[in-house]
Amino acid sequence: MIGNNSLLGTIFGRANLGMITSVNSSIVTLGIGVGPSLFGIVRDSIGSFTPLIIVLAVCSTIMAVLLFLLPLPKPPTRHLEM
Amino acid sequence: MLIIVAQTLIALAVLNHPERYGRFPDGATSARPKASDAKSAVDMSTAHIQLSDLNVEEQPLTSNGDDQGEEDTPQSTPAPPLAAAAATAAAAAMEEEIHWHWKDALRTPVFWSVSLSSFFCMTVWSGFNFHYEAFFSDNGLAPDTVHFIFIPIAVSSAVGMLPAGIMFDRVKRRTRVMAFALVLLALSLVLLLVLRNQFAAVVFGIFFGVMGRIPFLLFFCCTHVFLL
Repeated sequence: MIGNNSLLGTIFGRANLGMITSVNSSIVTLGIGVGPSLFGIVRDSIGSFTPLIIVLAVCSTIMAVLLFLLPLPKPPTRHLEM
Repeated sequence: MLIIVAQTLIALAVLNHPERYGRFPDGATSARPKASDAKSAVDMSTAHIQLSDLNVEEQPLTSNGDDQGEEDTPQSTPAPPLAAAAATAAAAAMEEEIHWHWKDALRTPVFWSVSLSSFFCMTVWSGFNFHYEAFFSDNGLAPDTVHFIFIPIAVSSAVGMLPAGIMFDRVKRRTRVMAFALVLLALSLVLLLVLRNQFAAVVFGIFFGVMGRIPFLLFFCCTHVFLL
């Protein structure tokens, strides 16, 4: 999920989009790095990917429901800092 | 060397002049800015000075040098070039947008929901790409036949772009597009648990491929840009 820039830009505007997307990209990149290691550790320790797949499927479903139901945030009151 | 040659050829082939294709920069209504566009640009610059509290007396600039019967002087402003009109239009668009401070944005649940969703998707995506042989061999598929799974992934990634683009243009709340990607991810993971034959693997590849393309669509997410 590298491409959230425009999604975040649609919600939060473009003035501070660089900082907003950089935080988002850090989290996404962390996921890229964690993924292979996480799957490898789980399979080596448990002998199967199944528990991790179930956990990730449940997490994905929860996040999907959250994203579907969450209202978009109201505009900020803080003054714009370019 | 190949990259240098390719970049040179691409630079020669790509014309970065939208007016040649009948399109204009944001907000511009013609290739050459009209006098009204120039006047609005000047008005905007004056308004900007007022907002910034510089205590500068309002002295509207003229867009042409023949008003009040005076000849052109160094102080007179000629009609702004296309780039200036485009910059003005972009500035106007920026004024109309709602802009968040990044600290405020980081305090919203939407930001963290989008980020965590992206985290889950990329964790699964990278984990699968590193361990796909183990995934399928655990399910009884022969290791020398599991590589075909990348065919449905590639095809669904390519073909799925068009309907996904139509959907994105019609969905106003694009966080729901991300929710759709997560549903596809969850379905892919369930399929990964139960697949025991190549047909199920193909279905998994279709879901997984479409799920993997949605983030890239989101990257270019602007109205109607998907179908261009």
